[in-house]
Amino acid sequence: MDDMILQKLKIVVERSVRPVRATMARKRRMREELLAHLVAIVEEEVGRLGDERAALEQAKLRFGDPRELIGQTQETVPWWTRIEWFFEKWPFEPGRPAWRLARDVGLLVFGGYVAVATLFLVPVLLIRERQGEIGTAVFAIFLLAVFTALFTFTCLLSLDRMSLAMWRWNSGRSRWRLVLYTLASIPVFPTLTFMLYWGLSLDSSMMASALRLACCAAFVFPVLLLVMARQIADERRDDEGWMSLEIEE
Amino acid sequence: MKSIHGDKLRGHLETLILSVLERGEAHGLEILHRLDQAGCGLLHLKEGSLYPALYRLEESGKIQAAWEEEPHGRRGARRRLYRLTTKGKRELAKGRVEWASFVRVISEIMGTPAWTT
Repeated sequence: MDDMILQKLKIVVERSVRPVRATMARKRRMREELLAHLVAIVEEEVGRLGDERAALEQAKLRFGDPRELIGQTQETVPWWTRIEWFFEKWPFEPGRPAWRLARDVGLLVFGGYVAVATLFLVPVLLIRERQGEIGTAVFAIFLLAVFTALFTFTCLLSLDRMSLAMWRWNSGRSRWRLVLYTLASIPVFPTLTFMLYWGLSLDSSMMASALRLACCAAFVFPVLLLVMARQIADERRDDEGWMSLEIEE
Repeated sequence: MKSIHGDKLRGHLETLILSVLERGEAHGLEILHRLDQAGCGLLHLKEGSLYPALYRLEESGKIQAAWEEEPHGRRGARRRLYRLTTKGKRELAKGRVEWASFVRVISEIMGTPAWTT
């Protein structure tokens, strides 16, 4: 099929999908499915009419007005997906630096831990008349919250940097950056684990076994990041392609 | 016989989809082909409007969808294959009973003969 025809089909799809308030994942699914449908119609019509341009017009006619589809599709989006859409829109606001997203999510995780500790742990200890343990428990929760928040921050930031480097794979600098980020992510897990156990003041044998486990995880962690970054880079490339389409008539 | 267009189908589209999926799993275009065959070419539906109905049915658990493995030459775009669930089968049976009763009542009112069940 002619690239120009495919581009026109993508525009028809994008007209019916872009205005829908749904998550990116849902929109990706819709785009791919509708595009597959339109391509199949064109193939069918080319077989019948013998001309790609005439087949394109026929496909548009058979598909219907994309504007009519927006409302119908919006009605199928459940309310919780609209909430997800709202939260998805907030961090990915155009021009917002990735470190801010990482920082905000890290703070959210920290706040979540502290809230859970205050709402559940402290009342339980008070009810069981173990007031003496409150201080230790709150300190442990605080350390866990710091650990998880720092871990979340590092993961999100590394993922963003690595996926960007993969996205711009053709430039030599990006490849070096990817290698650098991957190497830099190796000590993340053992360092954070050491900080956590040190803070909790656990005995040295427990700390040694935890660090041994963390060192094993140190090499799995960058691989996981690379796999996830690859997925994000592919999705970024795909989303950019769709979002760059001019859909105004 | 006169063609039947989208507006008249609107309230029944979901049950129609369930009934053609009873024959086995299918992607969107295949569902439309089955509807077209079963309706002797008299059903005229804007093809895009099939998908909101499919999403609704999927959301309510009446059908299940899975991506096909290979994009069979469609420039990387994969199709989703839909199949009926147990809930969908129950809904279809209910839809058939409701439809039979609807036709009977409307035929009585309009004074036109309906088939006997």
